[in-house]
Amino acid sequence: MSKKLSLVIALVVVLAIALPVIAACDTGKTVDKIEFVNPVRTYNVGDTIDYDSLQVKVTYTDNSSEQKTVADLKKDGATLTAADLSKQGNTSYSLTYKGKTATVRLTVGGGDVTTTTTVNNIMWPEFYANYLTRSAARGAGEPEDEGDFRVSGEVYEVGNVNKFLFGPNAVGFDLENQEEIEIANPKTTVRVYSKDTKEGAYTELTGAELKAFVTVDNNTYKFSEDAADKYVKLEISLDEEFYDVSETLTGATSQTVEFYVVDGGYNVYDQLGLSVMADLEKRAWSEIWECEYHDDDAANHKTTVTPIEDESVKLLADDLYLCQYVDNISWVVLHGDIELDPDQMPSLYFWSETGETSAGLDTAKTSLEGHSEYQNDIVGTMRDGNNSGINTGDAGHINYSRVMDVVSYHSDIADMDMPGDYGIETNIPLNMAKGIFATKKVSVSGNYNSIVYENRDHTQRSPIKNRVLLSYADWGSDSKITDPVSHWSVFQFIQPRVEGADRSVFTLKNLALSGNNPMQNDDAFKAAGLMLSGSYAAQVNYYNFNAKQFFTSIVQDNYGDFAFDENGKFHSGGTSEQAKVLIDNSKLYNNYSNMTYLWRGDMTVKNSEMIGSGGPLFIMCDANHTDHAGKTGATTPDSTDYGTSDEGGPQLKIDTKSKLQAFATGLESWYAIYDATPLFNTIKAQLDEDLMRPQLGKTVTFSNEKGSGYVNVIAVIIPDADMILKGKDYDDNTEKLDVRGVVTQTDDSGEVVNHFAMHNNFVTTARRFASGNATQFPMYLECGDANLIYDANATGLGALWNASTVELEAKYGTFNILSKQTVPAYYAMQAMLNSMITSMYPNAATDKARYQAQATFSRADKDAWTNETSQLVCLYLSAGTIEPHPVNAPYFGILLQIGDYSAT
Amino acid sequence: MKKSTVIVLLVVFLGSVLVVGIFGMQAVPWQEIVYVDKIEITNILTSSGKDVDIKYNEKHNYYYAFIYYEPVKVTQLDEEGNTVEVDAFEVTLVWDYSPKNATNNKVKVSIVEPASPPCDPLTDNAKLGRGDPIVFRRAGNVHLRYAAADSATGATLDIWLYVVVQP
Repeated sequence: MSKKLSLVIALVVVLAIALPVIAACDTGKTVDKIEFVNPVRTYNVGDTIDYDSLQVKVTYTDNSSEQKTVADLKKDGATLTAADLSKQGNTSYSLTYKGKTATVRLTVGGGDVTTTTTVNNIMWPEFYANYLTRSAARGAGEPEDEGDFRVSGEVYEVGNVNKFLFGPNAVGFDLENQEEIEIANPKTTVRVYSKDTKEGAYTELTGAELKAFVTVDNNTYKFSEDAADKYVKLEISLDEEFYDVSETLTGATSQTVEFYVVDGGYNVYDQLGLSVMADLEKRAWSEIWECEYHDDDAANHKTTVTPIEDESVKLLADDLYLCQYVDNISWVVLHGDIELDPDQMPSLYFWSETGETSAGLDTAKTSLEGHSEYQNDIVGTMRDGNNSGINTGDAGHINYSRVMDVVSYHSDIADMDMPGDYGIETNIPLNMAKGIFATKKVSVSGNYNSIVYENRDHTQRSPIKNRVLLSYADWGSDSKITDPVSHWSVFQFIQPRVEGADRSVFTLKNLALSGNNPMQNDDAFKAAGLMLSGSYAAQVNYYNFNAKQFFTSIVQDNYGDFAFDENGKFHSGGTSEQAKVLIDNSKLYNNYSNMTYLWRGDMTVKNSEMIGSGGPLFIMCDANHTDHAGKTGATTPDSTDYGTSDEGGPQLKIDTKSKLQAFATGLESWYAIYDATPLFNTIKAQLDEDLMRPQLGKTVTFSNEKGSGYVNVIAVIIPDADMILKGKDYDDNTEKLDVRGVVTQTDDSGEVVNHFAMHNNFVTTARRFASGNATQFPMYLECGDANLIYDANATGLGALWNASTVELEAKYGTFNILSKQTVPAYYAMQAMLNSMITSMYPNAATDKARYQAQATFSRADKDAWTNETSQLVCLYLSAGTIEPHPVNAPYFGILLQIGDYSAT
Repeated sequence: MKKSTVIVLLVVFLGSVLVVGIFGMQAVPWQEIVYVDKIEITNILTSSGKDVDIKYNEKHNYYYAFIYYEPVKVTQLDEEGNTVEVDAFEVTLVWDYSPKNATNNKVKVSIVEPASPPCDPLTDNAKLGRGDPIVFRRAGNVHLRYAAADSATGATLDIWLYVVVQP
């Protein structure tokens, strides 16, 4: 064979082998997205889906596309997660191929009715059984447990916006095999009664009146507007034309249920249904609702969502697409417990490695330097972080602005010195805290159900997925993992700051919640967990709810102040008022940080229980506003009327019925994180052992079955934590800071039994005289009518303090003043202040604070400290003796429980 | 070992005892709250002594058991103080909880439905490991719920007892 021929033959052979191989190789195309073609979205129980034959459109990044079957794609590595068609409700199936996922959400109907089975048992739907047990009154003498709701017997509620799905379950018996036989969607008949008031008598509705009131379609009930605000009774019976009823069911073949119809209420059966309340996060949730988002009317502060025919989500109980209910409801009414699934939440809420939610990820990871375990886990956790640079697209800063309902929209409120985007509908900056379900108008009726977001399944995408690794810290500083602060809550209730907006009033009631952030002392929990609720509204009422394990339960934020006109519409020039929160007959337990955080605001607590937080129960923050300094016209601390008002500061009203306990040793999460543990040892060892016990026969340290040495820190009244040592600005020593805040306690009759104010008579006077003199910021204890001053007098105060003392005594009677001469407590108190301040701020120089101590207290003096109604003492402190800016350091308050002390 | 080394060690030891003795005593260990996260029925005992098979309805998340009604006659006082003979068939549920280090292991049991159950009212909360016998006066169905008392979102267990007449 010639050489040439051999060469040709070899070439042909090579090509014959190589070409198919090349053809079979990856063409190099990258998949951009996949989507099912014309999927069926409605099935019945027991149906099956031939997944392999389903058609999928695969679109590539070069804009080409092709259609393949699921079977074809599975051969190329695709994985399918099947839907659950075994039960009625909402479900989905999804396909993942080359890193892209397509999901089809389905509704599963009840299926065929069995007509020949003998019915041996009928039973309530699970959610109604929950209601019956959880709302039941306790037996006589039975103690209330943490798991009990405070109020029993609240009426069951049902909405009239969509259908109420309520059918009994029914089974027959297979005695031979000792098994139940399911009767799917049992056929029932119903008699409907209504009344206008709870106390009234029911009348049966029939004929045209019935049709106008409710549409019944075998176990589904759609109430009309005529039914709004009415009480309804349904007598639901098995349709005995279809069934043989067992003798054992004699007298029990029907069930009666009573409820109240909530006007504008949307009936919720799962997380997807609950999302309809997220009217302020339409952009994020449009992904889950599979609809289109529009912000072309942003100038009028409006966003909308519109459905895509045959594609958008439609739930079993709904006549409309889910997105069509957004903005058109007043309540969500829960029927069933919900365990929140982060995989069913908007992807915009979570960090990712590509796309929109990767902006700022590198900066976020850099901020986690030294914590490789968190750096590796940050993808998939909830997004938060520094707000700077969101408009400039500065890659050096974390950009999370696009979480909420805006791409870029700027407020025209030019005088607000805040950079960044504003929410289109809220008109507040996007650096504010975020809510999974954020709303401007929807209240929540829980029907004694629960919402749980514990994420205990550590096999999920990220074991700490529903946490925040980095928190928004400040306008200028980077976020720190060492100071975890949560900015995500389950609910967020917001008053839009838009001219003409309705005054927002919300209620959350009859609901149990459990989060993912209990008290801890484990560093692994430094990542911030969820808060329960952010209240940015004119009024939020929390009634009969029971919650545990949140970073903080309720944040009440008075940001921006509210002002309304005479018609109750938001009007920046109108009558301003504080944001109000009412916590009524509710129970909060086992929180990482505290129970509530007031950023100014007006909070009332009635007959509630708050037990167990890793920090003070209430943090009352004055938000560092100095405008109050000029409330009475005075602008300098030396003026006689300077800083005389607590108006506008945080206002806390509690009653004597409420059980408020944050008994702590100082080793709990919040105290440990903020290095406040030594403070406890100081309070216990020196304030208590050296002063309170021997001098007053009282104590602020208690014992329980777990041990001794517990201090109950009920509230702190503070500026921002890093303002405690300083004036308004970090580096400017000229501004003066004066903290406002009031705690009032009333008894059953409404009479005030305790009143602690940051502008009480002593503090106001002392500050005026002490201002400008670094050594003269006395400590002040107030308990009912009893007062105790720790007077800082270095080498003799001279006329300044003598004058102030005379003035005080002339105005307010005798003050007990600790005198230096004889009592060791003097030295103890000196050491106490020093150690307290230096342990909180270890780099701050300590001043040589000196005190005067009194030798003894009379029995009458001691008895004045605590009585039956006054079990609270407030300690007013200032770090004014501490450099570098002592003259401007404000007084702040710590509210403690005080009790009798017995040496035996 | 050098004498000086021994002295140093002794000083350090005594000093640490003193320091711990003074400051250590002030420290109280903080205790995490552990919630009951599972309740299970491990056995069902009857006054007839027969075995009972416990089954699970996954769709509706409850357990159920068929129990043949085999009452015995018992004497008791009626409302007027007269001695009468009545039927009684006792069923005792043996249950357990986890984790075992739960801070509060109290579990409450209640009758959910029907409104007129075939058994006497429950007299007490479930006792640890074994409740009071449930006394049936006739054949019938009853839905019981066991619920951990430590949390409103706590562990629960639902069980239907189908007390039936043996065919």
